[in-house]
Amino acid sequence: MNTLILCVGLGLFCLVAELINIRKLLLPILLVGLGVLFVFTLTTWGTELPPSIWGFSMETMIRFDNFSIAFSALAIFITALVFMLAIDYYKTEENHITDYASILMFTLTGALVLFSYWNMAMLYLGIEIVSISMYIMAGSRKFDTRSNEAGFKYFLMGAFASGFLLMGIAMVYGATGSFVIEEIALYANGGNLSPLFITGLVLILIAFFFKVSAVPFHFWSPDVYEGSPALVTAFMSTLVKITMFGAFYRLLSLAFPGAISEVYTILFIVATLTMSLGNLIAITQVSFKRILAYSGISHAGYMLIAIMAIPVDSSAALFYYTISYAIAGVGIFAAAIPVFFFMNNEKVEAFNGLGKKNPALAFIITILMLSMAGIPPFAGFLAKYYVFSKAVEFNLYAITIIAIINSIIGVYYYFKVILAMYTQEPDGIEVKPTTLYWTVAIACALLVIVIGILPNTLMGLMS
Amino acid sequence: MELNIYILIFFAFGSIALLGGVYILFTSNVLRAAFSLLATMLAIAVLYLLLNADFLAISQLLIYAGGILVIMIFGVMFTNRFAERAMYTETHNRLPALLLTVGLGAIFYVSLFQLNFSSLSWQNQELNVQGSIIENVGVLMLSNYILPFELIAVLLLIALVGAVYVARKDHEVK
Repeated sequence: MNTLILCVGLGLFCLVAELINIRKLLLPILLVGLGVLFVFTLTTWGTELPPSIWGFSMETMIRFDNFSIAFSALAIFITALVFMLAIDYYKTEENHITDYASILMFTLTGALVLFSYWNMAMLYLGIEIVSISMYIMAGSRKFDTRSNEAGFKYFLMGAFASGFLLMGIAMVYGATGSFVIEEIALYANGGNLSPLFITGLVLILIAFFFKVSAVPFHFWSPDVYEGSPALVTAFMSTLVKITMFGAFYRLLSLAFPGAISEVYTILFIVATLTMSLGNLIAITQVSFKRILAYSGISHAGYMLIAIMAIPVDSSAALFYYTISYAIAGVGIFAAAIPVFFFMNNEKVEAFNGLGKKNPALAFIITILMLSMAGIPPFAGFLAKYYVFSKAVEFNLYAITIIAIINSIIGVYYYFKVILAMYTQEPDGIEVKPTTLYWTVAIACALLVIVIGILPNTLMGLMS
Repeated sequence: MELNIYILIFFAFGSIALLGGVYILFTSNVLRAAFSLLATMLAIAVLYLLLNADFLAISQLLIYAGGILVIMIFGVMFTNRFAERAMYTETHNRLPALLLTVGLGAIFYVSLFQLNFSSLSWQNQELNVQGSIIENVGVLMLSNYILPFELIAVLLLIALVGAVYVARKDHEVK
């Protein structure tokens, strides 16, 4: 609860910073604040008191368990990494920095709600807070038509998905008579589910498929990723995606454990399509951001497998996957944004000859790309391994085989970037990232290696 | 079915709401669509009143009929002036739209029309409300529902910051 209040406080502080004129110091102060928030979240591990406001118990609204604390800490960490990049990224736009920073902080607030909600109303509010912030950020380059298009497209699609979510929540409410997670679970476990309940669940699933950009609800994602400013894309493809998956897992594992077998076919088809189409279309792309968008879609497919394996408690596997995916994602953007900037080009060809021009940066991108592709000893490999082994434990053989074939296909397009860096001729334009970009990129690469070699600490947390 | 005044009101205003919605689909004039949306919203407010949800009905009138639709009609009228002709909409992608509608319609048919409403546990509970429910809503919003209430404040703040950011005069950043 205090984490939430602190987070909102930091967001409000950004708005006040405009008045007291400390724009230059704003991001460093926020970084310190996020550090405090991170430590504070970790100290609440296993000791969080029942939430209450003014003596009113909020137990039907929000609950903090180890799942939510672990995901919250991860989200705060990712936000801190993105803010480190923001210091240099927004150097030329000092007038807007308070707006951007406050909106990103409020996005984090929404994420924290989504990791710990205990009520469908809170779920809806959390999703809206995250989504509306992202609509604004996607369109934040006001004079760039592609950014406008991204913001508008995301807004229209997202509003549609929110409509589905509301309709689904209303139907579930109609069947169960409650918004509270445990009462819905009570109904779902009772058997003899009414068709209203199943339809509501399917509509909620559709909304979440939109939000995590699963096929066939993925059409917004490549355009939005490509049109948004690169830093916003980094935020969207890491924090927002893991947030939506955290909320999705929480919903299905806590509210609908008894009904998940009813929608198993839907999950199977969507996960298969998401992995396969995401990978196959990614092969044909030339824009680096679009490749990452489609790679994000296929990763959503792998994470959906973790959702399918909920009955054998795949929360640790999902947590490990989101960590490895998000950290590699932020790292890739930390290394790629300077390349975009100096080459003035966001296609794969911008990376041509980077191996000769800036070997260290090329090496970091290679490590992160290999982790994304799932090659040992990096974290991405173990992430896939844990998810697949959970799936096998639950006898999901078909989807596991499809996923393994897909991860082999996926290696191809990650190597397209790596090959461009090492086999193409350089063109003489220097790429010199600033210290902060270096710091984040190196930290992410190191983390991917460390987590990949020593996974047991993280895996032990959730159990 | 026993014919009483409530059922008559329900069917009268329910059909107004439906007809308004159907008219939006088939008219190509945006202004007329906006006005028929107004009719739908007002009819739905009456349906809320029938359900004893007076707070919801008032919010519906204030927010949708009073706020959103007025802004919408203003918007249409302003853009009309600049374009110097009435605004018309066109229909695209008829076949995919038809397929989607039929699919969704089938789902709703199964879930709503096949449902035995009296089997829902809350259907048979006695409604224990005397007079207006506004007082209860107010008390609940500042007690048990204080957390969502505060989060809505955060949501509105974001929307405000975003609206100011988008609308404010800016010069291109090089």
